[in-house]
Amino acid sequence: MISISRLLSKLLLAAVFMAVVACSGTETVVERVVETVIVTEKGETIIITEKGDTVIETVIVTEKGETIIITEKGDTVVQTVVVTEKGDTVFVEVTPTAVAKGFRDIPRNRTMIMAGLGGEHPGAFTDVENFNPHTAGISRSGLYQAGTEGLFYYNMLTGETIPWLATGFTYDAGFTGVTVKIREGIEWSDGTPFTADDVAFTINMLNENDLMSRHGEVALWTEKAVAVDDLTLHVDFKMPAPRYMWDILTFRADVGIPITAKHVFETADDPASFSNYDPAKGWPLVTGPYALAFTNVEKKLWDRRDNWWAAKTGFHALPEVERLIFLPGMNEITMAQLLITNEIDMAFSLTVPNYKAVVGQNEKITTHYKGEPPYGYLDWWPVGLGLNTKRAPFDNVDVRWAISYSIDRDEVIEFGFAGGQVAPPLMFPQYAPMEKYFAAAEGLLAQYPTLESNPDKVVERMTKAGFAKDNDGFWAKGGERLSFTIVTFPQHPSTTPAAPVVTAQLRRNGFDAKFVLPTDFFSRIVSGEADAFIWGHASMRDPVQMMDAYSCRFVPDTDREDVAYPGLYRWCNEEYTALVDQMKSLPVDDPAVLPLFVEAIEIWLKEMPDIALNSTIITLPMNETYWTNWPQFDNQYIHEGFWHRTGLQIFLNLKTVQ
Amino acid sequence: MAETRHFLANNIRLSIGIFLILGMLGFWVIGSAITDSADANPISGPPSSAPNLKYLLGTDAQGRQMLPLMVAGMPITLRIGFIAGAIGVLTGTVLGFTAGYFRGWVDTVIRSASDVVLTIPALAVLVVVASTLSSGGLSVNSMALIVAMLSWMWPTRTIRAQVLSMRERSFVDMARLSGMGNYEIIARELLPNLFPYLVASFVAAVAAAILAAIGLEALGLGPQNDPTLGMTIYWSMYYGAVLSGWWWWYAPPIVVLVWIFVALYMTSSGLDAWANPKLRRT
Repeated sequence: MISISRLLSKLLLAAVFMAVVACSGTETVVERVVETVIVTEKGETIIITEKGDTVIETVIVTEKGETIIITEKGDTVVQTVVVTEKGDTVFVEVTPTAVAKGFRDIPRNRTMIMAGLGGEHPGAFTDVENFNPHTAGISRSGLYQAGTEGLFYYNMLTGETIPWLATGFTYDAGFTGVTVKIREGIEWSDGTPFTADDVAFTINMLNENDLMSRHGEVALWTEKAVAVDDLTLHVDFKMPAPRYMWDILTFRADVGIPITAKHVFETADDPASFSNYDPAKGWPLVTGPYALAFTNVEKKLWDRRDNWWAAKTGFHALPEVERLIFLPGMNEITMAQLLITNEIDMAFSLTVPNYKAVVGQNEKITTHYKGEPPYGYLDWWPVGLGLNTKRAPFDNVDVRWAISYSIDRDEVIEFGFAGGQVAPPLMFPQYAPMEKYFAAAEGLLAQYPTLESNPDKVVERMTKAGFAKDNDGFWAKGGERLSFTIVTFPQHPSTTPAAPVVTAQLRRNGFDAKFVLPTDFFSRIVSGEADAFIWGHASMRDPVQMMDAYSCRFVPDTDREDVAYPGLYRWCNEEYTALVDQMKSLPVDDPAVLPLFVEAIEIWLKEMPDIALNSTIITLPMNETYWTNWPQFDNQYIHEGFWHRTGLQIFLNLKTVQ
Repeated sequence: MAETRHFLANNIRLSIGIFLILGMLGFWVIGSAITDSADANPISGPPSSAPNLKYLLGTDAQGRQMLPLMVAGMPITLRIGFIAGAIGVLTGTVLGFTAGYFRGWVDTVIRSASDVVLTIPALAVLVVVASTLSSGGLSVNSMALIVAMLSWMWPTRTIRAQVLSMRERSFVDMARLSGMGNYEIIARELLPNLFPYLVASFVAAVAAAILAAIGLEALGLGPQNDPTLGMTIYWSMYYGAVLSGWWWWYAPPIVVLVWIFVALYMTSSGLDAWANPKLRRT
């Protein structure tokens, strides 16, 4: 029975969705929306009961016009809703009906299935009932890219910025703050309006809570965020922050803080440990076009919400994809088999041979370059051979250059990646906005050839560093052989295959090197245990992010102290750091960045604190059996990393085949 | 000589085992003469080359030549098996003799310990140990020691059972009555009688140790810088050799492993027949 105590001036809408479909093979009961009621008075109370007057849910309305979502629970289904006139008590008869347990059926050709994420959570999800996007270790399985939307999106392949939840922003004079305009008409999935207050709350919550993810970057710059009105946000900075919108509030690849609902998170005693998961309440609340429908260790399902704000306001049409299924990390062979049998539509990166093998058995599989080299899209994470430069002899620039001259990048790409990578001379990706930086460094690169393989120069540099070859042909000094171990990921598409090849090349040039692929690779690098490591570098629109990783502020006193990420290289040059700090104090697009870059990169090249290896090209297979309009080189509306925050743009653009 | 020929003729399994082991030895000797072990490393040949006159067994995707890889990998794999098997049987012999001969509380402790450890899934333990100890990269010897950790229980149990039976025999009573001490009885009476059985146990332990090592290596937890058969299988799986039809990458290590296991099984089974007359055909 529903009792409405306050006035109702009009008939309330009752829509019953009797989508009750069995999901054989699972015992999990999933709650789903069965009714939407629009109420008109603030403070109104709606009581939902089963037949027999057992109260199963009480909803207190806090805003006029709020939409109340009634969900079925267990085997109970709302069957009819009858609302009479203003002032009357309204009865809704609810009859328990036996229904099959599970989630509703959606045909395969309206479902998009993705496997492998970005390589994490291999075999099983470990965050089955955690949907707090501000906690560490949460998987990239829908919350960030299907349920959450960004204020802005950035297309790293084209350099285009796409306003989304926000329409624009203006920095205060001197970059001491920023005013952001929020788009009108945005709603959370419970019907509550999404306002600047939600954004301000999220920023302040992260700023104040040092146990939440991205606290560090928010707290570094943010003084306080304030909602000026529902559609206007103002953030005060602790110091001039001309990159704040870019660094903090723009969704690009894996970066940008997700905005969470104030009226949910303010109820949490401890936001850092709050799960944000309660199907009875429709949590996690989302603004995006998909709501969580099912979660277990094997998969996560997100179903389309037909009342998505963007469709209602005309900002964007509903996506044709009705269901998203995210499968956890898995090995390449499994992904390849699933692609061949059309059981999945996208998968994490395949090696080129495996991609070719899959295409040989399923011609519907394509890639960014439509099956032509270099096959995949250029990721923002070029890879290098990092060295613990606090540890001798890697503190010697001649040894570092000798190692660089030992490496033949063409061989690394041919033998490690079957031709599926390229070798960038500097460790940032060759995206369109980056071209001017590569062009500016061209002369320096002729002087400091980062990609040159030259055994004679290896000998010259090592001799200069005081080394001579021992009886076994390995470099040694003072009777002690230079032996070191390279650490990297046990399974990563752009680092793991390089390790055996680079090691063989170093040994060929007299370095007693070996490699290991341990599961605790990251802690070994951070702690300084690793002598050398293969790791990537993040930059997208200018090289500042990559260059900042070599700032003195990261460098500890010794070679065996923990470093803060991304300062893994333990290399310090005060002049270089001052130049990078100046670059950081300018907006991303400021023309003054370029000359500072040239000065800084010259120091970097001369010192060679890190050795360029190869790009990260993600050969991501896309299946055209059920879906078309994939992001490809001639249609780069976004890159195809579906585990990234920008994945939403893929889901919105796909067109059904059948 | 004639006796040996007669014995081998009547013990076909041992004959086949010895023949296969001699074949392995021959493969290694001839292979070492015609190949360079350095060619078992990456970038020593072209990537993913099918077998041809220059690369008789082809090459893998990272340019390792398969024939030198097999020639180098077979003894390394056997080395792991022999070290782990020797440690396992030696430990099992000491514990088995101690428990079986002296009995009492020592027997209870040893028997309970081996029974308890036997119930632990060995591979799970080895995976944890191998991934923890592989700090600077596992060497072949450290790999053997890790496998040896869990290779002593079966020898302990079976040798204890043999000793329990043997200590009640009349020749042991005679030795005791003639004034021999416990250790002298073990050394001079029991050990010689159990020697064929110990040899058979050792061969079986070598096979078991190789199997455990291959399991770890196929998971990527082996000596990654050494050309072992298990690491060859690991890299072939990593690069999807089966999917790509690169049979020359995954087939050679499988053939060599089958060769090793059949040789060891036949030898162990033949030695068992030698040790236990009831198992002989005639």
